Amino acid sequence: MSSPLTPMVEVTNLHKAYGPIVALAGVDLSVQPGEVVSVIGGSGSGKSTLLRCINYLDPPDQGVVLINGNRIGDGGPHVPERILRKHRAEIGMVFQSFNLFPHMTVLQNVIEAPCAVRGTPKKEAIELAYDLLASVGVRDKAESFPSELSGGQQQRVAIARALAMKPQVMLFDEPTSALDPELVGEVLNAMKQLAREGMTMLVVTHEMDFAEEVSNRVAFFSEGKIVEVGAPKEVLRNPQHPRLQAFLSRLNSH
Amino acid sequence: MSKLDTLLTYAPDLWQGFFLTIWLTILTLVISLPFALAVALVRDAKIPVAKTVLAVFVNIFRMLPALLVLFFIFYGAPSLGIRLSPVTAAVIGMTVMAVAYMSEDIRGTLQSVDQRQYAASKALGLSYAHTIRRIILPQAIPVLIPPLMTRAIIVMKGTSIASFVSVAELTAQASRATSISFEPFIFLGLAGVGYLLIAGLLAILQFAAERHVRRRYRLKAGY
Repeated sequence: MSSPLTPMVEVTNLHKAYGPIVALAGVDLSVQPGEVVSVIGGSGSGKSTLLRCINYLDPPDQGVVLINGNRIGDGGPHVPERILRKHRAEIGMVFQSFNLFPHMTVLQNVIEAPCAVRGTPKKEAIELAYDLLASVGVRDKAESFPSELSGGQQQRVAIARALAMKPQVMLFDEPTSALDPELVGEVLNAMKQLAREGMTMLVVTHEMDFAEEVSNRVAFFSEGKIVEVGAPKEVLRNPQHPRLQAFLSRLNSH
Repeated sequence: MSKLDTLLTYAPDLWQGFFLTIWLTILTLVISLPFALAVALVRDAKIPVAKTVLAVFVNIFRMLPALLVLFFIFYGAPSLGIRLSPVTAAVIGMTVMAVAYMSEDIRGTLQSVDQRQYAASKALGLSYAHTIRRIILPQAIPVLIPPLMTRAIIVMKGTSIASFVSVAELTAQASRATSISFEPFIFLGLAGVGYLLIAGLLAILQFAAERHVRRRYRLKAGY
């Protein structure tokens, strides 16, 4: 995929190890503005670590992360906290376990970061929050606490909370893996809508139908590396790498 | 002297001792709480060197008898050229002990908060200080209230050791009245009632605080 535009996310030669366990063994990936890239692979293959290294929740040991052309750090793990905060403010992240703030209402969850980090006036932040909550279908839950919501509703609030920072890119770390099967659809729909609106998205997922339908590209992770990447139909229907073939046949045998 | 006369003779002393005990309790708790919070946060944030120094501090003082620490300050300070009044020496000694214990209560509670809340806060670009103040502490406080209030009651009862360095608090007054009048049941009993009253007040405070946070955060039972 060639583009004259600066990639929204560009990672080069990313390495990360946790003690003796190598999670990333030299990852290169670039995501164009407006592109949706799904990352698939077995558990422990390093796909979640990739997301956590992009926003430096886990600083990479080595390698370069560029967000919209801006380089984070100097290729090492030590970056000043102040710079990381600026960096993270541009990157929305949605977690498998939602991680809403349980002591705050839905509305407070959504306005906390814009007010604190961006300095958005409260009134403005509330208006934006209501719009975002409406767009993910939970506007009527604004005054509820997370514990009063279903998992699917919580995850949609988490998406709205991330969007409230007006990020340039959204990272999704297995956003539907903790949900009851009947609640998966509502979260995927919210993500599909976001993709249609042109958000740049990097999605770690086990939802192959979603990956095929919504992504521009699919990347297959194995042993800390991207071993195959390409158009969803190619990667999922006509896999070349033996490990990808084995991975997909394991999925289909269920 | 009738028992009533004896009681009336020493009642004002006991009354004074009662208030001194309350005063010692308030001073110790008010001074130690912010220090304990700071110690817990520094250790929890794993700040190099400082966390080790504080871990050594906490472990030394929680392993020593409070009375020994108190004697050390009361009798040791003058040899360093520092003159401390008995009340000051007692408050310093009890505060040091309270900081060691309370910082552990607080540290344990901080660790009971879902650690993924830090990741969520970081991912939103929130600063560490903001995360602690707005995200972590409000979740830790409901869990912290029972152990912290229990600790407050222990600190309150512990003020009785100040009597060993000639602070005329409730236990000192009661034992003085007893040893002069040979009426142990009256004065030691009264002192007991005094401690029960203060502890009861703290227990009521705990109950009110727990109810407040339950309502504030609409917590379900069992949170």
